[in-house]
Amino acid sequence: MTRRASVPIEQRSYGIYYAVFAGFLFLGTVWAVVDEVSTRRPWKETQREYRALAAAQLRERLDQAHAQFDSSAAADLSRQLAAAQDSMNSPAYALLTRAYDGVLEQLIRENRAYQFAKSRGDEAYYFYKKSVHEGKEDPGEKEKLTRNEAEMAAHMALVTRLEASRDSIAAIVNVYKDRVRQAQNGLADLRKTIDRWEGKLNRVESAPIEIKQVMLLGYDRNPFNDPKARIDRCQTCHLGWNEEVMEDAPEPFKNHPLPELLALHKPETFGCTPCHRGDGPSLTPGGAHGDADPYAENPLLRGKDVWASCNECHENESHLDGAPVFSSAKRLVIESGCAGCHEIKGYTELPRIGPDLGLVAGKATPDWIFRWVRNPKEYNPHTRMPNFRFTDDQAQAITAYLLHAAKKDTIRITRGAAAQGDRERGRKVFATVGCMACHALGDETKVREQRGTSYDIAPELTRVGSKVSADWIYEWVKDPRRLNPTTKMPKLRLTDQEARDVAAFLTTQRDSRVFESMAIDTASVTTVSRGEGLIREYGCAGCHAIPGMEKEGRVSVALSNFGRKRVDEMDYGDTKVPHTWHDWITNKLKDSRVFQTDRILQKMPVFSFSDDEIAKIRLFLLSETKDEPDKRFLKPFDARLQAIETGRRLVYSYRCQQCHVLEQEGGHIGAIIEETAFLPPPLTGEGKKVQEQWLYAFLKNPSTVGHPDAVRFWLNTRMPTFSFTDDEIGKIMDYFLALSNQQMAIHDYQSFTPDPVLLPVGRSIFNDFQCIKCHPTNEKMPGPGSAATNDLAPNLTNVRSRLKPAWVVEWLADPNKLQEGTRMPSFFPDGQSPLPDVLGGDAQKQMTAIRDYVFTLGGPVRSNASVR
Amino acid sequence: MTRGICLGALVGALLIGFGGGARGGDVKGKVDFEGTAPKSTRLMMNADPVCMKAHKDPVYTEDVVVNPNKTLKNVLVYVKDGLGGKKFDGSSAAKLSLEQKGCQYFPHVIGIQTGQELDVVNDDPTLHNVHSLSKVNSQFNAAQPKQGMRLVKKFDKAETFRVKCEVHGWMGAYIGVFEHPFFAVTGEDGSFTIKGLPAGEYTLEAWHEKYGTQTLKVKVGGSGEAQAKFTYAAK
Repeated sequence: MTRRASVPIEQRSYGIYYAVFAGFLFLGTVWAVVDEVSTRRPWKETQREYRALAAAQLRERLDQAHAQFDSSAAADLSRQLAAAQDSMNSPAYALLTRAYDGVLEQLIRENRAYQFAKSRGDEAYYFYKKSVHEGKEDPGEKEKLTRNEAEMAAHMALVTRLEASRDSIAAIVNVYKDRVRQAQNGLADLRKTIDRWEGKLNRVESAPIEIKQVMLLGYDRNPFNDPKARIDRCQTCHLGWNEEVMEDAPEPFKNHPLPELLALHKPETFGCTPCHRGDGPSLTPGGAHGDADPYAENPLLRGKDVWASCNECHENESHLDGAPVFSSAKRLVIESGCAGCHEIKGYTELPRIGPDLGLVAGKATPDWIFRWVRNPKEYNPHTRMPNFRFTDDQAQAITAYLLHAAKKDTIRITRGAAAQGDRERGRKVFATVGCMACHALGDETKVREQRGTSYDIAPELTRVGSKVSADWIYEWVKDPRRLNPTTKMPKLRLTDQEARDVAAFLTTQRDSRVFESMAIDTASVTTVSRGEGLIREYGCAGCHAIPGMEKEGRVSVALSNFGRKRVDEMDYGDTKVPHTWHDWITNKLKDSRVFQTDRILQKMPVFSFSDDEIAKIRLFLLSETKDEPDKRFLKPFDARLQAIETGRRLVYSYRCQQCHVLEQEGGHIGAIIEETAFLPPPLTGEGKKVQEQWLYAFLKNPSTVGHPDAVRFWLNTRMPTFSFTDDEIGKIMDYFLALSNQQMAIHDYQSFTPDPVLLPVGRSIFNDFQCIKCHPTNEKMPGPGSAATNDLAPNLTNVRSRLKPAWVVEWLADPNKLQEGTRMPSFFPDGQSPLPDVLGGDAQKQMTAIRDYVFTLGGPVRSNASVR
Repeated sequence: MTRGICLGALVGALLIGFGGGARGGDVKGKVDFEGTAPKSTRLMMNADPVCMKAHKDPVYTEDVVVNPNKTLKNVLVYVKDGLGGKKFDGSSAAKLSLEQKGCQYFPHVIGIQTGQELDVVNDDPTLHNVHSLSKVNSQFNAAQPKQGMRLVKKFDKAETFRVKCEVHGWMGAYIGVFEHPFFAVTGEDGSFTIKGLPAGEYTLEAWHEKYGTQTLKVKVGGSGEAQAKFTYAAK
């Protein structure tokens, strides 16, 4: 072997080096291609997996469909089809079609001949007329005209005959064709399921492997506030979201659990990230979900947290159909009074949730106030008032200020007014008129449990006898607004004796514990001013009206962008709480003083939220961001939605849903009323149902007890008198109407006149259907020995002054559709009448007839004043 | 077409009978009652004269009916577990009937397969309505104001629920819907027979409207009958 150096440069071969490096280059290129096409595109493998999985599922369905395929019926139909097709090849059919074509040809000819004759006639007519106008009637043209008219008539007669024979031949031809069509349709029907699965299978198997991308132009804004597109590629891997057979498939292939929400937010055009967050353009699970990056800007919302994103577009609404978690989180924040201390966008105008403390001196003793301030949960574990963990000194000072500042001219309570109340009668009144819809007492906590909150919406009365006097209770239950004009507690129209009885009963509900008496020095200026300072510092005026504190602002931070607060902006004190957003807020809500250190004092009081409530408040806070998509993507918060939200908040504040179901929420009193017949009415669809005038009069003065015109005069539970202002009634009415998609309009319902023809028919159907078995009317009131009241349905004597005529017909057509679970049966199932001989069996006409008759019940027209 | 249905029914019957080929057997049993039977309340039907006239003898509530042989009537016994993923089509099973007669439901407890037809008949010359208080199946509430009116219903999901007449508050019956044909209701002698179970181990459950549910395990061998006994005690 020659040494390389001895070979002249020109003769040296570099081939081997080139070959090796070319080899490297080649391998590198191959690697680059593989890496680019496959390794770095894991979604391709995911799509293949999906294809295999979905195809297997679909094939199973297809096999099932094949197995269930009625092959004997199919064979029958195929035979029929073949026979029908054969018959179309028969000489008879050929003869028919030939005859048909012949007739058609003749028809065309005759038509043309007729048209020509007509044209000639027109020409002759013109010349004839012309000659007449010129004063020399031309008999030649006249004759031509007559001839052509005769010709036309002859042709027309032939055309008519030909058309008739064409139609009769066509009818026979159609019989042949129909036979084929019927067999074909029958076969298609039989194969429907098979075809459906086959189609799906083909689509899945032939779907290209590709990135599936949704682009939302201008949805986001960049830091300079310029519109920016949002890229959403989630469906590249989440392929089965819309495929029913993928119900039990593993992620990412599972179908979406809430197709009804997807119908409103179409993933094909809206993508996934507006609700689920995450990094849309990313094509790996770590990147898209944000798991790979602890500082991910927009991590995926997991579990129930996904409901937080509703707020991005639905910020103005505190209830969303189909999003109960979101709705109840908002409700919880409203009811817990968070906005008393924190500024939250959209919640700044809420009324204070606590009572007016200017009136406290006339109500409770100094001792009681002191103990309450120190720890309200001691007296009432389910109060919404949180524990401020005041020391005895602090509590004394606050009590001193409250007593010092309390209004001196509080309403006088007559001493001894409540004497001679009967405890047992009082217990009964308390249990039946409806007090327990809001107030828990002792073991009777079913309403609270049904409501599902850790707190009560009105004070628990288990120890009320140790708080207030019998005389105070008497005055209060008779007319709460007289003692406190801003209270939410309505009047139940108790008689004086009933009020005395209730007072006697409630004073027996006492705190069995004995407490040491505390001296409260209201005269000491230093104590009082210390109390004043504490009240200001801790922001008591956020929830209570307090004399001398009318202009206090919110004491704590604004929460409007809390959902975007970064972990490094949160203080974890001396705790070992993991440094995440979720852990910080969870622990804060469990014990608001948890992050307190010897230098950093915290003032937020301690709430006693349940874990479920903590999760909901956390969800609410997560939803508090300044993110807002471009206007084009928002449903406008129009007049209707505004009316709904205004009314909704009013309804929340008066606790209407403790008794009534509204917007699928509420009816909690149902927990203590066993008979459905005695439940307060659900108010779903009320705007469509009742007349505006009636609703106004009823809300103004719902007193109906014992009044024969009342809807269900046998009820013991009373609709309270809320003493609504006209403005409030207007808002409630707008709310009901808007929920029913109706506009406020003036209707003269009183002049409704029944159809004189339908009226007697309606009466006879009313009798045939035996409506009276359940519905009392003036003509037949339930007397002794008739149906028990729990089998009765609403009184129909006031229908004319109460219900909207159109609603009654809609109700008769399908009661369960308007009020789910109603006891009223459908007399017209599937729109069919059981009376085929009445009004030609026309269900709609029969319903109208019943309505017209029902509108005549209850005698002559009354004025609204009669609805007491 | 008819031939197809007949064939389907035949195949269905074969499947039910032999559990897809495996040989099986029947489960026979009894539901005993211990202790003193609670006093049944007399039904006052005077709200509706038609109902009153239909009965010469007094009528009593049917929530607890203890037979003379110390067994409990109207107990629904069914296979709760053990059928695996087997599917049974009830649409070919014979139509069942629920009668309203003398303002009472007959039978008081009824077991039915998904897809099987139920014929609800009003035999009284008065207004009845059948309101199903189902939670999983969609509710129905249909009035039958005329004697002889019928309503045919099918259920698609397994569930036991009450049906009631809103006109006559005392009228109530129970319907148990199952995805298989292996259920039975105890009668006048408190016995029940579940026929044609494929060989295997099953969990049987007994359901009573007042006394709730009980379960027990039962093994169905290659041939012969398996025995099962439930005992309810007075509360």
